[in-house]
Amino acid sequence: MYLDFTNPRYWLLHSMGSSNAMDWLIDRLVTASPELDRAWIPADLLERVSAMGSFRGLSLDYDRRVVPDVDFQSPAAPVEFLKMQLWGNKAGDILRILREQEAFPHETTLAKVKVKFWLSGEVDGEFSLDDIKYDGKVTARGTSFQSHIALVSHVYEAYAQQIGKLEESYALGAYESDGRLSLEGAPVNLLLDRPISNLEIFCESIFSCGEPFRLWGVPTRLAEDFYRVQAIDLHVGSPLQFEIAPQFLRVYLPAGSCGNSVVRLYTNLQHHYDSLIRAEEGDGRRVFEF
Amino acid sequence: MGDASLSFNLTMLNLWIGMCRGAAGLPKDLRKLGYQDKWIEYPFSNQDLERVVPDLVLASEQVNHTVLLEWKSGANTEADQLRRYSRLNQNDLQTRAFISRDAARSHDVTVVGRDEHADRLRMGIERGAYTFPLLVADDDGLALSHNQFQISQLSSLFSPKLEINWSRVPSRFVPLDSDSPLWEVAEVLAPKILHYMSERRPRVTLEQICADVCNTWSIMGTPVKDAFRGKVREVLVQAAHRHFGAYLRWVGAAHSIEIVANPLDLEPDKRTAVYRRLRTAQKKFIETLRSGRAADGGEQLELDFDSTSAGP
Repeated sequence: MYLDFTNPRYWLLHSMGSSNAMDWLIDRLVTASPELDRAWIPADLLERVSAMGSFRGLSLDYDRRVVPDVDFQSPAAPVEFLKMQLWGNKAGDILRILREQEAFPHETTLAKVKVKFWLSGEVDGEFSLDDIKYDGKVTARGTSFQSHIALVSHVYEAYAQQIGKLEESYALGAYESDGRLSLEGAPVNLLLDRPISNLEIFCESIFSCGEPFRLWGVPTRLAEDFYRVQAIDLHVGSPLQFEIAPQFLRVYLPAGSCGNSVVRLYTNLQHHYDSLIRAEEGDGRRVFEF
Repeated sequence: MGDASLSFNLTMLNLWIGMCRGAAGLPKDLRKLGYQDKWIEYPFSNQDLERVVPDLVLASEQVNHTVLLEWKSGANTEADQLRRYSRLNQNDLQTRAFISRDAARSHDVTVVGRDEHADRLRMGIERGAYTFPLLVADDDGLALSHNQFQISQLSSLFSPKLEINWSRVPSRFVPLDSDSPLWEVAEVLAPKILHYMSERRPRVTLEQICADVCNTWSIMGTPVKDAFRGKVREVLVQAAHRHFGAYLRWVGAAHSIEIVANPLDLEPDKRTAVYRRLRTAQKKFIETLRSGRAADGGEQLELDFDSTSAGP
């Protein structure tokens, strides 16, 4: 096992051993230490990674049962659960088909991509075949460790850049200088492609301390269709604030809080509510630029 | 103004900041015109060296304009205050309010009040023959009721009305002030205490807690600070004596709380259950305060925690 903490904020743990043993160890470390969390790679970033080499396979993982705000028995109920694994060169085609409007665009959430990656271009015989999963686990085979490391570095840098952007541009704080009090930061607007069906159940599901969201909060109902929640991210102990309407969630990240909390929420909502959720800033620009 | 939970002042402050910062569900027009919220309650002088303290200053370099907003929750304007505002000029904005030259090229002092007080507020402005625009809030939004802005886009924006869904006005930019009810203070305090627990802080002073939960703490005057401090203290004392008694102790002599039991001291697999109990306690605490049963002793919630580490 080899731990690369060149950047003390982001650790890369490498192992030649059984990935099951590593899964156990990482799970234990993350659960026991509020200072540590996994990377939560959004489907958008996984898709970008899939385009960095030859896209050789995918896994989809969507489970709405975690947020059961609809009657799954009703004829108009949305898809409850969608899991799929597909290995082969047609992965991109299958993804496109599933995302078509008449298929399952709201439930087609990438959980893993298999990418054949050449560091020096496709003609080179040196390659890695990487499975990159949304929880930050990367399993590699192939002939080139360098290719594997290069791909992992791309993912890590893209991810770290977005965390940094959240903490620098969106974290909300009040600053006073010579009596002048001003605010910095802005809420991250999470926009839903289909409205939340039942706000009360939605809020209870998200903020009841359970996996995968691990958010502590007591939702305050301010109107029939509007709640606010002062929350704590139990993974890292960071405070977060939310205002929630059927069409959107405003997420306020207080200055000093961890940007990973927002990315984890966004990623988990892709997996457990709506694959088409968007994170936008006030003028409609996307928050995450993967 | 519908069911907005905050006071008029906090509602307006959060609304205008939210519109400038692009909070979802609010009109985007101000942001598109380039307005940014600059200062909250910043006191500066006019050309006669008389003090003005607008509740919020917005500035836009894009349309070369500054808006000095003054909320009026009641029916009356203050003649002397309006007179002092009328003596502001571009130089004051640039040199004393630190507004950029481009944004300071034109400005409007804008009075924002309730629709039911529109006539009285208008009379106050007319009495001094001021050109200040008057915006009034009714159930559907904000309307320009008197005078025009120097910038036609703004006059158009509020004429006949900028529609606002008051029930969805943001409240987290500046969540609390000295007028906030106890339950809203408690709503913010409990997560903050969990945050202190995550930092494994054994004791936190009242002063520190006030500064941590109130964005405007540093600019509050002494009487306002005293009022706010009193509310925070009251909530902490009640929390420590009632719903959160197993976790917190109020140390009156030191004006601080002691964290006497921390879920993080437990094995990881036992923490979630404790967090859930804390969540139930918070729900009951807020309900108690919201229903006005704060002082009646109420029901002591029994929290099952490691008794050896529980508070005295």
